[in-house]
Amino acid sequence: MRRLLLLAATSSILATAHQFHFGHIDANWNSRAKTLELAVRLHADDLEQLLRQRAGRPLEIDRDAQAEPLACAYALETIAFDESRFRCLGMKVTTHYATLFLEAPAATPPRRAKFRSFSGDFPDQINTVQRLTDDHRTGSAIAFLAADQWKPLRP
Amino acid sequence: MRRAALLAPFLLLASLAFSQSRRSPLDKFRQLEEILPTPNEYRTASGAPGHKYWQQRADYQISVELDDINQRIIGSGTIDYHNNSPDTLNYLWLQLDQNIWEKHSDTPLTETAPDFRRFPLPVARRLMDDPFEGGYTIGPVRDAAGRELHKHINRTMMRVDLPAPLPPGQSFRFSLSWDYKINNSKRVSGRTGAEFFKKDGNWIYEIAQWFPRMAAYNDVTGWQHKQFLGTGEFTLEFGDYQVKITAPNDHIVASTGVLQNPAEVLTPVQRQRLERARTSPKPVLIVTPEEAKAAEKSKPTGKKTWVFHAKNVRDFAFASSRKFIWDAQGHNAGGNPVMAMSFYPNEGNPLWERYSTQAIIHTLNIYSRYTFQYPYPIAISVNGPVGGMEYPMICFNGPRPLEDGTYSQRTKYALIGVVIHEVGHNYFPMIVNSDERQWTWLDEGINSFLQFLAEQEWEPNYPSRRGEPSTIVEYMLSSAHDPIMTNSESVVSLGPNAYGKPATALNILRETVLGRELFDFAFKEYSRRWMFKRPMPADFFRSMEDASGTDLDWFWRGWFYTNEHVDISLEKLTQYTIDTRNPEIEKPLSKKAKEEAPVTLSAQRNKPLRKRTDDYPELLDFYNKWDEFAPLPSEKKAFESYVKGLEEDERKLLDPAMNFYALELKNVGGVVMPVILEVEFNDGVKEELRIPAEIWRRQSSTVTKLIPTRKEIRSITLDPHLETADADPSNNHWPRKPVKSKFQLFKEERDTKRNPMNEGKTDAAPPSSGSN
Ligand SMILES: [Zn+2]
Repeated sequence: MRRLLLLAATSSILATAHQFHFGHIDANWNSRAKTLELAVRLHADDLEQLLRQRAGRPLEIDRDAQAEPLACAYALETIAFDESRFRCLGMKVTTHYATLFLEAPAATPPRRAKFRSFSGDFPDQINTVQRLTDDHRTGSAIAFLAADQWKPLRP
Repeated sequence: MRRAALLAPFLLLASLAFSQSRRSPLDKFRQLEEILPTPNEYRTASGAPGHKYWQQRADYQISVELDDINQRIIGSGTIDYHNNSPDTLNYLWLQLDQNIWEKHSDTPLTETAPDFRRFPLPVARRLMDDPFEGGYTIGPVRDAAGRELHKHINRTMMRVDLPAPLPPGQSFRFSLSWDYKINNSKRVSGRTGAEFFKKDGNWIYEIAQWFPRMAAYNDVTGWQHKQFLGTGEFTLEFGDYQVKITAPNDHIVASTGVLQNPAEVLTPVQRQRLERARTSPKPVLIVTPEEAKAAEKSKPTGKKTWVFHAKNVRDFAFASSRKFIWDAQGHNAGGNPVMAMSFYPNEGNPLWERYSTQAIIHTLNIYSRYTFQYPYPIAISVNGPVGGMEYPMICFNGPRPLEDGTYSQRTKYALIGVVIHEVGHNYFPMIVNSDERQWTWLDEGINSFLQFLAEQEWEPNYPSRRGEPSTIVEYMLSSAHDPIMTNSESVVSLGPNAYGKPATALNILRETVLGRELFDFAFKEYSRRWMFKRPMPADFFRSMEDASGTDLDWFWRGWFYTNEHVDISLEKLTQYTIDTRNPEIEKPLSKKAKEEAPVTLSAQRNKPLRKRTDDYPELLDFYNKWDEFAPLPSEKKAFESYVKGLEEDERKLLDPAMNFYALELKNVGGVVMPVILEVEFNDGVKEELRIPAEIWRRQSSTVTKLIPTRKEIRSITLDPHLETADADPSNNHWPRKPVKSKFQLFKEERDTKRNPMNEGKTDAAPPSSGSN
């Protein structure tokens, strides 16, 4: 049995008129530094809504000091590549997007990943991972639908 | 560099242009006729309504009461349904949208499980102790003579059986009554609802999809009665509405249509202010913030009935609250006087008083320029519980500042953007009445495109979400990328698919493929042809081609019918010069080439060794002394006779300074696109080459472009202005250039920020933007 954590928030089951539920990671394996570098792009509106729930107050992600640590924590919770232990370097917020930068030691390119940011909130959430090696794309982007857990990153 | 002999001067060009490998099996320029519906008398091959085009019509007379105590809607009305179709109808279908909140509705049944680690309280409440019991209670349906008609409710649709078949050209009048509980948006959100303000105990109501609406019946789908599940939008018929809205007498009501009885519902001061607003260059407050604040404490002493008439609209919505501030400004939309008005609570300020009405007028100006003159007398923006939703003449927009009255830059642009978007929906799909449930992109994509144009004329560098080609690349690269021409219900990710990608596609069509003049003419033609009519995607595709005089089938095919992306690669550049056959020119060139050739390692090491011929010079003969690069008399003679045999204009072509560059282009992504090249020459001069997409017409995977020039090329950049949504910038340069990743850029930026000199400078920076 698991215990449910109840969160005060507007129900997101019924979508509003303008849904744009899309997240993206550029996952670059740096062969010289032997690191995995993630640039995680999320929609700023969705992230702000979520951080408000977590902070329990109407926080704004582009002008609140607590936003970055909370956003980093959320990214680390919902994103995984193999057994990599990521360090969050920071966040950049523009009008529509928030991009988080994560880094982990990695001797080889990643084999599998999980990208569940907002997957539990919006049934139409789609997250994609673009794999790169030394900043060159390797293959097409892999899509994670709301129900997807771990997925292999084909070579 | 390679030297090409000019034996047959044009063979060289020809062989380059055709030096292409096997054709790909699919012709990306194949015409769309086999896919598009066959033109007929209702919809022509040029994309215009046909000579027998028809559409149904429904006129409504409704009385509705808003119950502010129990949050209920109680309505009754008469509908006149006009059968303009060539078909005889035995029954009519009406939409009962409120039934998605009925106890046994499909909407909760088809919901998938939420994230159990973050279980939303409202969902729990709904599932456990306080389920919201919405949905219509429908009274008897009666014809004009008062006879009850048989009806059958199939979830969100209701069939009314006609007492006698309704022939073409006839009308049928019937009446019915209904009521339902309004959803509290904090618990059950949607496109309509009520918002409760705990601190003053008042509600804001945004009321939409609130009466049984005639389902559309048309030449393409017949009855459009797909069940409403809460996400798909609507397909509706035009008609005239006479609506009487009864609300507590301290409420302000904002509505579709023109208020018919201002003397009964407005104070003399409010009427005077409205009169002043008609000609004012700035918004005029009809209800001031102070008056709205005072009204929050009032208790109603009775009811008031507001009467609104709306002509030729496809729907009707309203909002009501005692919390409303109301501002208005008259605007002349190309000869049509319009009242632009905003209704918002004190919680919306200072954002709303500054931006809402201004954004309405800006939208009318820009959209009218690209389509048609705004035909309605009213344009309203309301702040309440709904994040962003459009209805004729009225829309609901959510963004608000924080409680302390400050707001971030993001909130500001969210408000301006959503007001432009929702007011813009008056044009698409409220007037150009496309079927939203079937083809979301046909209104959302076109509207997002126009929103981008309007935002870019709001202020310099307005941060638009959609429109710029680079914003859609990640979606187009992903395996979740569906063709735009996928039914809305089946699209995996509707946002990028139906809003972002078509907005980008139209922007590219305008800027890169057709140019602004041709595009704007064709787009306006489409808008005007289908104003107050119901277009389908083929009507749009055909109209754009018909009015621009351009075959765009390859464009529709690539951008709307496939899930391919754009990625053109500069594969290699080969330099050719002319072999003049003139020994005086060619021999020195050969000599130079030999001298410039690299010396092998052995040759370098062998050079200092003493040679036998040093000791025995008699071993050297003619061949050791002969200059192989000195032109021989026989060669000179041969050249002279060759030149004699050429025509005067052919002789001119023997120009040793002429370079022919063969640029090999590979279509990696699949979508064929124009090739935009910036060529930089050795003297630093840059030239732009804009090659139409038809370069790919014989071979869509690899082509070689010939660039003739007297100068030498230093570098080439593909898509230098980022106008084609090319997905991979790393193959867009010759010679290849490394492209910095987002991660690298962030790290560099962070490192420079740590630079103490920089930190010293940022100390003096102004406080964070956004706060007022
Ligand atoms: Zn929209």
